[in-house]
Amino acid sequence: MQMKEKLSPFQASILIYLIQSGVTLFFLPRLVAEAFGTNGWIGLIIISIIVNMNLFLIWLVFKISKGKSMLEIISIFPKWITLPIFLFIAGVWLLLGVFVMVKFCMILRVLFFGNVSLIYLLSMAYILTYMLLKMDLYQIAKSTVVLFYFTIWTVFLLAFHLPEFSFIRLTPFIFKGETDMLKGGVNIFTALLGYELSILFIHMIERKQLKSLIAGNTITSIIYLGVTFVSYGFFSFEQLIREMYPVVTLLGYISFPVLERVENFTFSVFGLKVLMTTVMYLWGTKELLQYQFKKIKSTILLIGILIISFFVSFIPKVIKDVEQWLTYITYACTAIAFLLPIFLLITVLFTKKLNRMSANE
Amino acid sequence: MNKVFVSIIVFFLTGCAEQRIIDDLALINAVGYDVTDNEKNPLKLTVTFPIITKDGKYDRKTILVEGKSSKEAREKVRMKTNLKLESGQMRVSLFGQEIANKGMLPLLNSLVRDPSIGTRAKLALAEDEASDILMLQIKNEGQNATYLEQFLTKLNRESLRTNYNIYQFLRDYYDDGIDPILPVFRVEKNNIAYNGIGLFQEDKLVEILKPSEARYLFLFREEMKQGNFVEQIDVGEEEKASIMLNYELKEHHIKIQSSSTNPKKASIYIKLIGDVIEYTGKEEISDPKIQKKIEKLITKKIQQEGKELIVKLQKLQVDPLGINRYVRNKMNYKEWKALDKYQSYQDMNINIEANIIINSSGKWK
Amino acid sequence: MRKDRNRFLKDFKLQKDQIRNITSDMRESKLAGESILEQFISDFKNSSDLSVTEFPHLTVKIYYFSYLINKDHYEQFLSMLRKITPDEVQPFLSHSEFKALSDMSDVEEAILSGSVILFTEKQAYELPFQEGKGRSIAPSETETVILGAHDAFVESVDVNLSLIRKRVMSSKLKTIKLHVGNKAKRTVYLLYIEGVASENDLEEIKKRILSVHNDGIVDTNMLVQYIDEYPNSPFPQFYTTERPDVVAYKMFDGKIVGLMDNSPFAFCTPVSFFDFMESMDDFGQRWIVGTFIKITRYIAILVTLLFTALYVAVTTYHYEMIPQALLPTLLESRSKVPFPPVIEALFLEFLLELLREAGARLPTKVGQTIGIVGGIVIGQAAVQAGITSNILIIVVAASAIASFVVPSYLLSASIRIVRFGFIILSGFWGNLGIIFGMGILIIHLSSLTNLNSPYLLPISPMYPKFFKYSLIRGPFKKKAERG
Repeated sequence: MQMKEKLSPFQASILIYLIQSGVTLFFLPRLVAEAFGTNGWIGLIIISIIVNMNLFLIWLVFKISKGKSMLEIISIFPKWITLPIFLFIAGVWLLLGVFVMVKFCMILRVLFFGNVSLIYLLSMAYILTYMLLKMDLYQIAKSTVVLFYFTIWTVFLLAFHLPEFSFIRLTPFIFKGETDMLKGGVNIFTALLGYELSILFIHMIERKQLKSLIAGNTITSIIYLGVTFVSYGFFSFEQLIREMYPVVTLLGYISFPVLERVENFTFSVFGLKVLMTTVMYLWGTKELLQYQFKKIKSTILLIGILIISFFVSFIPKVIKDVEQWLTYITYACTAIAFLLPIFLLITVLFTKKLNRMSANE
Repeated sequence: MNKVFVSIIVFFLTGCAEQRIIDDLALINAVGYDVTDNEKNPLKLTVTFPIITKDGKYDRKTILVEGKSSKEAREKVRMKTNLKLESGQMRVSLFGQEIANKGMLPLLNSLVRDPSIGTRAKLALAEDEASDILMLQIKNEGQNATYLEQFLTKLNRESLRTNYNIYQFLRDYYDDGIDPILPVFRVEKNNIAYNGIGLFQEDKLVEILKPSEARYLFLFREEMKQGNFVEQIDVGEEEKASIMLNYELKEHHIKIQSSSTNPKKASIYIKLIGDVIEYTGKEEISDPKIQKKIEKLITKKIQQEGKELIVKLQKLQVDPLGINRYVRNKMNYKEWKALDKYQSYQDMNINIEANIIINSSGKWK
Repeated sequence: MRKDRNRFLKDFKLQKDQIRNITSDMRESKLAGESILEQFISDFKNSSDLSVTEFPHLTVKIYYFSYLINKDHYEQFLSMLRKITPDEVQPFLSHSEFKALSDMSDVEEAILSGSVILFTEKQAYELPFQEGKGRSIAPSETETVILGAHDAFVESVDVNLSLIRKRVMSSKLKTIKLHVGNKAKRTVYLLYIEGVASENDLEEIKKRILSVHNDGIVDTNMLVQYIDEYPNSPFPQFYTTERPDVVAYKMFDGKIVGLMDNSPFAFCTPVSFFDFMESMDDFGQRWIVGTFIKITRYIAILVTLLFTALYVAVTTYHYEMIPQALLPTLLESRSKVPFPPVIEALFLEFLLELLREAGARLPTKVGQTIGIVGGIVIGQAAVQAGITSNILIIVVAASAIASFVVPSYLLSASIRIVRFGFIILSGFWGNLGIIFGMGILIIHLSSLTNLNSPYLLPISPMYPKFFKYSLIRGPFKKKAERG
């Protein structure tokens, strides 16, 4: 079994899923309830379809350019043009990756480890990040698959809530109550962010590119949908809005004969999922910067990125600050997710036309 | 090289979390809340936790303080023990009758806000004072908290689904179509005994149902799947027989007849299949004809006494059966929000359609 | 990774050059058997155990180590030699049984491996009168099975080869003979089934073995540490075994097997983590039973790794995870112990490691006493003295038992080491520490490779169709499908 440098479709799907599912999962049901009101879980399906459309766009870039990577496409521009764009994108991705982890650590402190200093929690996260980032993407993807197996069982814990689940609680009203469709909708959309990184590695997928990307997003959506749906039938609607972290409460309600209240354990396990989000965003940052500054050695660049990330993570002091930051960053990130493929598409078409013209001459 | 780097960092990271070693902790397993006459400190907090005595025996300690709020009172408890106070093992929290009358929400809020307290912690009411129950030293009974928790679990199993924990109570409180209920305990000759069901409107205790009445209440709640039915029925003229059925709830649904009529009409359909365990009448219970007759008698009895109970509930404007949830599911959102729920509930005409089938007469003919 | 490979290639080239130089030197001095003889005598001076027989009239000198050769064969040969005249020497020696040796290194190897060396004026000849003395074939002590063959490899590589040949009766079984070491050369045989094993793997492993220059490699288990890719990992990367049936099975599976002379162990490559979890017993059992046992082993690994750590985490940080019914027992047993749970657990685990090591070093008869002493000390006295709690003893014992379930001694030892890491981490941060450790472990394991084949192979990268051959023990019928 020789090492292949290409990702199998399965690995790509898992990678997409683990980038996507991050810290938002813990309060997603509340976000959905606040945004869409009663039976808001239906709204998730719509948002998932939007994401799939965006993934299709990314695939289109890949298809039209005949398998070129994003960096190859962009190389027709001189470096000084790409520099500001890339710096901006890299900055946004770095901040997003970092603050997702910071937020997770802060919630961890609030709920379970109130007296562990943030430095320690973040250091642990960055050690793991370093261990993963010093490998190439194929190796990261290998670890990702194992991490996937290590975390996926938490989904089956939802079965423990079935005895308390009631369809009557779902109510027949659709999208009623105090809703905030647009802003809340964007908020929920950001929970699915992460798929846009696929633009950097879609050319590394062996085959079935589009299918594997959409499968990855579907896994995330199904898990999100499942959690949200169970929350709607498990909590009453008003209660759901008042629960700060409904999924933590869900986890806490589980009781085994030998152990109960395993929520701090499962919550920590989720940390590995959040870790993958951070790792992949930092990986994206690294790829872009590496392209821009070819001369810098990759290890030095990596350590540089990690040091910057480490210090950036201490800018916000409380969860509220992080949330504020995250709101803006995710907006920027959403814009990147849509605009970057469109920009690339135009570039590809333009290059093709140019080539054809020069060929005709 | 990298491994060395990693291990060095791990080494430097040795700032560990604050230790909470179990033998240094006062693991509160039950709290009681009461009101006091004292205006300054209106809340009476009773806390009980297990300790290990010098000779290695498992014992308990109960501390009673008065304070302004539950957390302030807790601070006072902290001053009264050598162990570190932790509430993560809290199993039961008891509320005195008076404090429940005033409304439980502030106390529950402080319970649910604390991340160390599990949402599985059970709630119960105390007739009179919660502190009396927690202070009571029953001989050879050990922890009152364990006793109460076992009691509540047992009630739950024995067809009285009173197993109300923090999550369930809040869920039904925040659900606009159902009202929560809680079991009531009281001190009875150096023993703690179950004494009915407390009915809530929103978060305020309205009335305590006697155990005999409460039985019907559970018959009409859907969560209960099987149980015992013991009743005196009139078999003939001037003749009474006692019958005991082991039944299974085969069907349970609540139907709202139509959406526009006012007052509304609701029917509760239940279908029970039971085995006769005891029958003191003179007839042969194995005779299908007699069985039919008894089925009819029991049906009549349930419908009649159930109706009485429901009228009482309507009068009190409490809806522990969640009939309003079914009303809600028949309406559109605007109508529902405009509806005066308790008034419409009171005016509603609720019927009980019971169907009892005797499956066998036990292992004796 | 890539750096490693480059270094390998460089080393390999160097090695090749050296060999070329040496052989060309030899060619010049190969004028006659006498020159070899001179060099031979100078190389083997001060070897008082070297015996020599001379036949001056035949101008023949015979050298041998008397304890390495078969005396009867040698005597027969001498009697034959005595009968012939000088003219008949050359035709007699051209007998195919006797191999003409052209350079000194061959001579050295031949005489050390028990051949008799005969020098004429023109040539040196190897007379293969090796004596197959050594331990007789006995059941394996390290890898015992209940259902399955009971023979195990011995120190003699010829016997080992015969054990394998008997099991793989095919002309497709190929062997390659290689040497490792500079001064004291050791022979390594690479065995594979042509068409089943990968050629690339074969080239790679050859390169690696040839690049080992170190002397003093006395055992296969040592050798594989010179040729693995991650020398700093606690996990074994080459699968070594004493059992010929395992070796045969692995070869049919496309693996390359290495045998070293004077070592009763064979290594297999490329292997993954799951090869270490396999025992021949699984195949003797019905597949349902076999699968159940395999799953039990995975659970055992988890128990070994995490059980004690979980105890420490729960009693030190997460008291709320203890169920009501367990609380009194736990409180009572902990109440007398003066140390924090981490210290208590580390102390007991360390004591158990001592006990295990003592048991392994002591002669079997004394070893039993250690068990009894340890049982009393750990089981009873420690609790009564209030140093440890009852529950912890159960926990530690359970995780020790679970560690014995792992079929590979190497892996079981690695896991025990890793367990200490988990206990310490859980002592610092409770469950969070355990998860952190788990993260490190997963990343580390998934980045390991053996001969460029991923260590966690059927899981990551995913090959679901191999699940039934390595994760579980699938039914046999389908096994024939595998080519």
